[in-house]
Amino acid sequence: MDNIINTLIDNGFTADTLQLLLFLPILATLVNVSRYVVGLKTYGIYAPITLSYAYLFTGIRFGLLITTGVIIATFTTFYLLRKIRMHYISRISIAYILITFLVIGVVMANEISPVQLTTDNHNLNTVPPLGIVLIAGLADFFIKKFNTKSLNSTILSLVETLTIAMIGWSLMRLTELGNFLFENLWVFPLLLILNFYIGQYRGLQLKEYFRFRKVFNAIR
Amino acid sequence: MIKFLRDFRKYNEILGMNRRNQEYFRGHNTHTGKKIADNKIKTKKVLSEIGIQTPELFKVIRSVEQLNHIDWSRLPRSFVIKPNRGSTGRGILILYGKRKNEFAWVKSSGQIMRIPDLELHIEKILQGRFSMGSSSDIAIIEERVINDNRFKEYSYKGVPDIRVIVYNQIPVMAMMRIPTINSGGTANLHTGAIGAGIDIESGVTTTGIRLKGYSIVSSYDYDIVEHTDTGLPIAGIKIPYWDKILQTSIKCAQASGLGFLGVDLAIDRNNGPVVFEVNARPGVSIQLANLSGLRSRLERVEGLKIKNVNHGVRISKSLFGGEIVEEIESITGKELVKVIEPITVRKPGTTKKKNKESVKAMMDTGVKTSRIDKGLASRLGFTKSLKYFYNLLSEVNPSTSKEVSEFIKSYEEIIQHETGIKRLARVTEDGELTVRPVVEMEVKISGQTKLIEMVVSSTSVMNHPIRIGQKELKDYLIDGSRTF
Repeated sequence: MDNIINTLIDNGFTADTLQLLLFLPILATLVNVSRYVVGLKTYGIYAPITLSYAYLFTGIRFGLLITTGVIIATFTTFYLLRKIRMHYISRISIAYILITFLVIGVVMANEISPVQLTTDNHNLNTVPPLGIVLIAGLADFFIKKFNTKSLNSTILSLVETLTIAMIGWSLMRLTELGNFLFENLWVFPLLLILNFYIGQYRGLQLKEYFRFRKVFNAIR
Repeated sequence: MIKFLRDFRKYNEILGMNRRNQEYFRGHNTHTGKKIADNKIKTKKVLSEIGIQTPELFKVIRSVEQLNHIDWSRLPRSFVIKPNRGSTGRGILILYGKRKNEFAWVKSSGQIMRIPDLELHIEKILQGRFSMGSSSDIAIIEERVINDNRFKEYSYKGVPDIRVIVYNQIPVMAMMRIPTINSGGTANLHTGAIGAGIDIESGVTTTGIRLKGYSIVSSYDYDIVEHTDTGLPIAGIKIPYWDKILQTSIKCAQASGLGFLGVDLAIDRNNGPVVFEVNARPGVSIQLANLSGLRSRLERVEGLKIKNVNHGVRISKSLFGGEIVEEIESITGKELVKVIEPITVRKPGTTKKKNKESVKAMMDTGVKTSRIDKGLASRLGFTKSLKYFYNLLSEVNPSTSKEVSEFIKSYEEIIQHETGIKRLARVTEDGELTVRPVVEMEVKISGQTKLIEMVVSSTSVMNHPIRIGQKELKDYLIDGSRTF
């Protein structure tokens, strides 16, 4: 196994890049298990994975703050423009512009504020822009869901997406897990098998045990 | 622990989303069938070809260009605008009336919709905002179903709809969705409409459910409710045209080629049952409204072959009828038994097959203590005891009230000691006062086993080998309409 890692590093991969890459199958499996075994409805698979990576860049506190900002900006745009005839992408584009203004506004407010938001690593001004951009992508998923489902259902999915993203972020922060993956690449074929098995899984999801408890009680 | 595990297996009767998608939606629905179900215009075409009524189609709008050329004056006062490939009721705009001499229509909320409002809504539909896959869609304008007078008092503004799940061309479960104030007149469970389970046999509603809220633990939480927003009880609503509804559902399955589907119908005041949608991915909440598992029902009709539509209805009714009985039992806490009920009876303490018999028992509220035929009691192991008793009785032959009392006083203890007879009773048989032995029997009735005291009676006075009397019947309700 070491040989594979060494070969990759010799060929230009950095250890950090490799570690981030190795977490991708873990996060994908996490979303898969959450969806079909637990029953958590996330905004697809891309959104929770992207958010997990984004939170790694921004830190969880700033990450959640920016996420809240993005959702507020998106919802406001959607609400303000709901009566105006407009194409879908134009609407999202306006939401992105608003998000940008909002983030700049929050950073400036933080700068001039006597009490500044900081974490161990950095303050809000030094948050990597890539992290913010990744979180801003949530606007698209939010609107798409809101277009086809009720607000309650959309918010429920958002909460579930954030829950998975935070679990993913926690996993990525475990250095022991990262080192373990580095040294035990045999885990990945197992993940493949696990995902394949979940793909065939027909049993009840954990949430359905709660959802149908009244039916369960009524069956004699 | 074993009981817990055994009980837990009851979850196997419930259909979850994973199995619905993997086994039933993907496993039994053809690509062509799904294409028909996902396209309302195609559904209308296919169903009307076999004579099934669907709401009349007024206009199809495929582009913004066409939208600009609609002659709104040619539309009726009331109509519905919906996406062709919409799902879960999103994007459906129901217009109940039109203001005089104005191009202004009224929504269920009372909101006025003018032409620009309608155009905006149609544009959203064309952009695919309410459609599966979110790609562009077609908007359709169709006839509004007028609520049947019988349902008017139950629903708030909208029209209740009926969902029938059909599998293998056999209706397996049904539910009525009743619009409420919360649902804003729509018949969508997720927006707060009431879902009422329907007894397949009689077409009568049973339990009602209503969305309580959302939670991360179970997504949608439903409460069991007993009354509609208009204050009427949910259980006991007789759905008109029930047989026709079941027949129509089967025909929809045949015409669409779908093996597993939900057929959505409404009852129009003038036209009767009208199909407005065929759904290839019916939701699983219907199980909550019926308090019954769908998976076990689907497995029961797996592989059955129906000869024709009426045969399918008959199979469905005989397999899945009876929820009403369960409902009454759950309300009263008492089991429902037929006038003539099959039971098994055995002499207590015996295990041999010859000491047990299955017979038809009559539920007889006219006698206090239950009765057993002399011949049956003998066969079950009381031959010697009864011989001893009747020998003694024929020797003494008591006939007056005093003699009967003295016989019981003198011999009851000896008889109890010498035989398996429990006590003696004074009874009037064929108009004459006499003494009869009372034995205890182990009886299994409606799934429950209990010890019952029975007077051994002469064969000549018994139409049925066992009559269950008042003492035992206090635990049961007798359904006079059902006989064995």
